[in-house]
Amino acid sequence: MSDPRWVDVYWSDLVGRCRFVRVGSDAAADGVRLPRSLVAAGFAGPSPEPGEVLLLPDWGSARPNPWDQNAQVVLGDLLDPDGQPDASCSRSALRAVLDRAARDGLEIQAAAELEFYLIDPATRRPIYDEINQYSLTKGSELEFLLHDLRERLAVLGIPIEAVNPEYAGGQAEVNIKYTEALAAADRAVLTRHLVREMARSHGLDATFMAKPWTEQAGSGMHVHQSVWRVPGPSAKAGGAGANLFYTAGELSSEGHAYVAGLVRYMRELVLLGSATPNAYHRRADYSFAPTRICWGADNRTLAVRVITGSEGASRVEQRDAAADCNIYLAMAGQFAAGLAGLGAGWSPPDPVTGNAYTRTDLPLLPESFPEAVDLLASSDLAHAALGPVIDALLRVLRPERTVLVTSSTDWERDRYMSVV
Amino acid sequence: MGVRTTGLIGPGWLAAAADRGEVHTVRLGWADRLGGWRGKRMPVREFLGRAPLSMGFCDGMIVCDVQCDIIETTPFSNYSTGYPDLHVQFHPDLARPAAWAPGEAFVFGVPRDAAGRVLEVAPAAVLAQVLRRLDELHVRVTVSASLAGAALPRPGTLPGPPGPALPDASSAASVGVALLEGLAASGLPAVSVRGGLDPGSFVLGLGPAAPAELTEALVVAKSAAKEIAGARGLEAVFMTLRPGAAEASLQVLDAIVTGAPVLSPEALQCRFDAVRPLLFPSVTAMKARPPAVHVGKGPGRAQRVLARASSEADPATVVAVLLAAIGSLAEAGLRGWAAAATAASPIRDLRDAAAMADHPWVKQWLGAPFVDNAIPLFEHEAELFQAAVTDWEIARYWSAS
Repeated sequence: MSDPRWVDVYWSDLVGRCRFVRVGSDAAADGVRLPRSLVAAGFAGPSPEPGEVLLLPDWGSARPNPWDQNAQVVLGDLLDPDGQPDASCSRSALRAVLDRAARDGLEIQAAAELEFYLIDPATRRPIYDEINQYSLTKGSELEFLLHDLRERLAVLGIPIEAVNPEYAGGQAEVNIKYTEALAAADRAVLTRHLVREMARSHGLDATFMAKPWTEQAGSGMHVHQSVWRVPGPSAKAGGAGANLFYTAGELSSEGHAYVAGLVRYMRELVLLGSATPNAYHRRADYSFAPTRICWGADNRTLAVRVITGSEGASRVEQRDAAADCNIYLAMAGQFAAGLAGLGAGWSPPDPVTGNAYTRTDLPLLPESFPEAVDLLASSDLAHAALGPVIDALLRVLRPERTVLVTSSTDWERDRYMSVV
Repeated sequence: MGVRTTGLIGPGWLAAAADRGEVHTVRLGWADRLGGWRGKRMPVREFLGRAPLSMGFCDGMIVCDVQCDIIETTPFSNYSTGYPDLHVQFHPDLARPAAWAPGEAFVFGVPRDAAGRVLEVAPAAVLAQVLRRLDELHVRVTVSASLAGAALPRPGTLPGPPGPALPDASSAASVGVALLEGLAASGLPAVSVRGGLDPGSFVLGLGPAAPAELTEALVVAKSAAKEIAGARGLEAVFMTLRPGAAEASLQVLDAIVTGAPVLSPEALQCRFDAVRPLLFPSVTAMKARPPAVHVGKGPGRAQRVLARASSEADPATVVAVLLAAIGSLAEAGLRGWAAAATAASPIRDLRDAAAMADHPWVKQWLGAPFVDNAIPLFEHEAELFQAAVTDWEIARYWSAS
């Protein structure tokens, strides 16, 4: 990279929005002071919290800017006045989970599958109607944008495995290549940002909203994950490792223990992946979004889908998060849960085969935002593993609950106004 | 029009083309039960770095309906099976340029299960099985085909004053020419294109070629036509019957058969009638009444068989049916079996698709999994139509009742 004049420092706010600030290269090394009211803002607007936080670039994440040769892109961490990770820093929360794993010689490899809709801004509807999943023909109509997207992501150092039309009109999926988990989260955050920017540059809009339309499929973020034993005391040591989930083409005992953790904590952590009231509309039977807490071999009605094969391909896919979540927090919660199971050597419940939507004996995932808020607030694992970011998140999200119960929606007016 | 790539297509072509900067993206595709070209796009460097590459896809998409709807009565894939992955392996040596789409190449793969077994519901696998049986009978077949379609204005998108919905002749013709050139530059056996009777219509000629190669080319051709037409503000349509059109859009197969006993055209027609939904897979297509199967003299001692199916039908299925019909009759003749030449009656409605299974040769040659998963698809289509109130009904009965 040739000595760019500017640095664009990106971070994710608590509700998952990608933010950035541009500073001169000389000034960036010392970080950027930002008002806490901004970094801790929720959907309702600025936070009333006073003071400042320091946005410090993580130079290990620096990469060329695909829009501007005079700038580079870097992810930043939010620090409090004492130089410690700030409660509003979700990236630091993920790093803390991963660092604990690294101290045990473990590294999590992960990738996010992101679904989104391309929208005509004039109609606020998808740019086409018919469902044509995986259609290479339909995909050609999206190439004016998706090809551009792949090219720019390549400049950003984000390898894309594949793209395809998804299971709804105007919906697409981007598969980001597997890597170490913090980098995987960074890639997903930047990809989501770039999708929106690219759409706007083509006169369109893009949304990752969990369930934009009642009659259309929702948009999820499936997190593929595996745990590797790396040589040396630190997961950063690199070198060839071993996939703990792999044993002769089957899910290993360690993999089972990890899944046990995912399953045990899924209910109380669900808010991390479904952080808006809207996200709970996405979760419906026969929607391909899970409604019940369960796991099993390759099955798209389950919450956790185990994919086996070669050592490099063996992994588990947690399917409950919405595409509009805070990616760092959703991943941090899942990894913390899985690692807890792995550490304790738990056994998961029996795997589920067949149609999980009909299995009324299985526990339900939380069906409402208020329920999910209460569950996270009382989660010992969340507070212990992710730290003060949980309280910061709850401070931001609790007002959503109030707004939810005091708002009248168009659905209610359509259904009740003339008949009651 | 796509850029003609330099160098030969074959092993090493893709890497060389990527090095030359001619290819940036690879389509990794397979054909579904209705001939839809499905898959994913991958950056070429990513593909080359991992090839040969096995990729997973939701297996429901190989047996879904034309709108990707899930057919719960399809035994191969439904909510009870959990829609696991089907697996397709893509080899870079099989890559070809998608010459109508500059910068793109494509690779075809065959869907398999997790254990690596070819999926018996995949039309390509059915065709391969039929070819193996023909080979055992020492019956050899080469096939040519024509594919009829039309490049028409997109509804509501053409500028200008209202008028007859006729495409600009030069634009429509240019779609056909670009299609021919694009497919030929991709190394596919496209050999001719001509206009049809109706405005915007075209008939693409392909082959002769090995059946598998021909059917892949037909799948690609339909997609390429839609892409080329779309780039010109038009829409390529392969719907069998269109309002006001004089001709149906059909695939015409021209098979040269050697090694078979004399084929009875009546017996072949009966076999075609018995599996009509496979050849005319939509409510509309079933309304078409194409000319009967024709059997004539081919070069030397060969026989020549002409058969027709809807342009909507999956090409591999159509060719597999043709070859299975020929093969089953040849088998009966060679082994001295009494040929069951007559079908009870031609299937006229998709609701009656289950009658396909009444004819033993159908499952014997096409495979029970293929047939058993096809029938619910057609029945579902008929049920949807039965439940629909159409614009024809509104126009006919709304004010009159």
